Amino acid sequence: MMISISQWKMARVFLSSALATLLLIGPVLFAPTPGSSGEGAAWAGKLDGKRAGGGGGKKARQGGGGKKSRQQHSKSKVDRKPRASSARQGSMKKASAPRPQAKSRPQSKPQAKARPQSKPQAGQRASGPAKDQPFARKDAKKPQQKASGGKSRENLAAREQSQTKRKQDNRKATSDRQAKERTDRKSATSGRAAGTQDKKVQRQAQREEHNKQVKEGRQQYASNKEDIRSDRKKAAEELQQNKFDHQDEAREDWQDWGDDAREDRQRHHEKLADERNDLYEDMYDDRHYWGNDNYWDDDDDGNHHHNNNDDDDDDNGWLWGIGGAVVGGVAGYAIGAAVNEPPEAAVAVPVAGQQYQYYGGAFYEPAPSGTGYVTAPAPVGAQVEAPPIDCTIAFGPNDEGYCYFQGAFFIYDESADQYVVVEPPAGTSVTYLPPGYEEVTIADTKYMKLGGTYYRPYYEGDEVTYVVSEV
Amino acid sequence: MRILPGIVAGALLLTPLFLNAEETPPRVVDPKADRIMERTCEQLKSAPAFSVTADISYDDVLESGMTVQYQRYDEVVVDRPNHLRIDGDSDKGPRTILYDGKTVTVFDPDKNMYVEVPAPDTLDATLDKLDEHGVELPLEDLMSSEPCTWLHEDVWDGFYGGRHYLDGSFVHHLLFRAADADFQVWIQGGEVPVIRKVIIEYQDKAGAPRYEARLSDWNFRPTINAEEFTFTPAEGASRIEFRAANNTGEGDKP
Repeated sequence: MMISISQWKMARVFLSSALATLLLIGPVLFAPTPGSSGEGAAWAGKLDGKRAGGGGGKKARQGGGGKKSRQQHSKSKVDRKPRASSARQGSMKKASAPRPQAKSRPQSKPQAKARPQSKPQAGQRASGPAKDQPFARKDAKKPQQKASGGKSRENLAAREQSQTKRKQDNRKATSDRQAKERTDRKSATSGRAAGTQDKKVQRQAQREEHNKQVKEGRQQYASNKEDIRSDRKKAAEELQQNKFDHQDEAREDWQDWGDDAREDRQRHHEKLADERNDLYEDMYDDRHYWGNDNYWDDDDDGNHHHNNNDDDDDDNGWLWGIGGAVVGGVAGYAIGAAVNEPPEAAVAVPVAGQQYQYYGGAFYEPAPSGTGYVTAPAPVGAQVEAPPIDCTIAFGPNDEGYCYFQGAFFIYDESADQYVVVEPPAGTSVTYLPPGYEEVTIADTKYMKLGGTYYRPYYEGDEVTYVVSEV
Repeated sequence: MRILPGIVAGALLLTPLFLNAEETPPRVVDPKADRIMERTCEQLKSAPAFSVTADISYDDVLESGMTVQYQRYDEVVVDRPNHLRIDGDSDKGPRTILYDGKTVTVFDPDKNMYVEVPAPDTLDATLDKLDEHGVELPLEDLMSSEPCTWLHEDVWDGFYGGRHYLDGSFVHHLLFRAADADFQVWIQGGEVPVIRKVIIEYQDKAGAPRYEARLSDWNFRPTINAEEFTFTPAEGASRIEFRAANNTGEGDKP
């Protein structure tokens, strides 16, 4: 709005000047020459058009007339002429705002505060002529023009004095106003500074408070994290402990179960062992009763371990060896082998009218030549107090146990408290045969014949055994 | 909702009772031990052929309670899927087992006797058949197509014992427990893991007899001659039969 008013004023001044110029140079320019009026008008139009084009930009150059063209033309005049003065004023007006604006550009708030500052200026312009310099000048010129219309010197002096006084008053008012404005600006500046300082302090306090809260939060988080970690660790330990406890309990239960089962088995084995020990003690006593237990020397025969040691698995026999005094070896014990005489400790064992000498499992009978003795197959029905110490246990088809030694089967007769030689029970397997057997093949089946007994070889597991076969 | 915790608690309390009866405890095996054993078994499983030597000792616990230890030596050659040869000697005498994919033979060179029976066409089935006849093979699990079945089906406890010294080097020492036995296994790691030693302690048997095997000369690229799996009887060798379990001798009349 202000711009429109000033433009209008400028345009009026410009038109007045132009009219005065035309009055002065018009007789020269508009001399009565042929065709000069039309060309002159055209030239003036071209001049205006150039001016307008020079200051108006593209739209002005294109536009041929009308309101827009006039506005553009008017604006260009305002821009050109008042530019030197109005620019200064404008810069002054604007300076109050731009200064702090320039200072406070980085901050938006002070700019907002500067705005109210312009309101009092507008109010000053509206309220009194002294507030607006152009109006003040216009008011001052009017009396001056009137004074030049023929006043007296006194009046002139009085007017000058009055004018001077007004000027002074105006200067003073202007000075006061400027001082007030400076004070206000200073105050505002200081206020803003103070406000800024307060804000800084406040922000600093807020920042410190925020930092404090953050720090406390972090500490709290760290504490919580430690607590959580501790809780997790504790829970994991408890879980692990529970797992171990459960595992231990399960293991203990299992071990208890195993122990019970083992105890049962041990009781069973102990019962069997007791029976065997009784048997063994009897045999042991009998052996000592019968004397020399080194009679059967181990000659380290290569077949010894195959034939004599009962390393049979679990079920097929017992090893009747006595620690440190195993009587093993069958060297020289071949049926029919001749000896001069039986061992001293041999006892007489009558069987079906035949007198045998018995010692350590071997039976001796008088040699057919009449001189000396020969080893004889164990006669069925012979009863002896001591079975061969190096016998192995062989089980018959009905699980009855025999003491097997060199092809002879001894069974304990409880009623007679004697070991009785019996016929080889059919179906009983033994792990070795004494020397002296012969191999026979009947119906494509191989047998070993020992005395009158046929043994059929079989594989039991990965071991060859000989099963007594009925004839 | 309150019933559920009660049921769970009751089940937990009753669990030992069930375990005490027949149930196997829950399997708790160190993953590292599992992993090493699995890897070793995988090596065996994936090998098309291998040979190994086994020095074995095993206990017989006498009825008197005394323990007798026997020795066995076996050279094993496995050519998957259906070839096997084991040459060995022991306190019970020498023994050779041959499987050529059609028949399996157990031969006693000392007695010059052998037993030969038709065999299934797979090594696993043949091992089962030999087992039915009571022929015990050295660590037959290692020869089967699933060497680690025992690890999953029988073992319920196990852990990694560390790297322990064995014959000049440090090897993995694994310990496992099954329902009826404890196992210790020494495994040489590396790109081709192999079992170096095994101890099996039969806790459920009287006297807890032990089976111990030291395995050496592992070769996963053995020179295979197909003829070495086929049995050719020596002169005078006698062919005999496996004895039936219910044989009473009455049918053996000559």
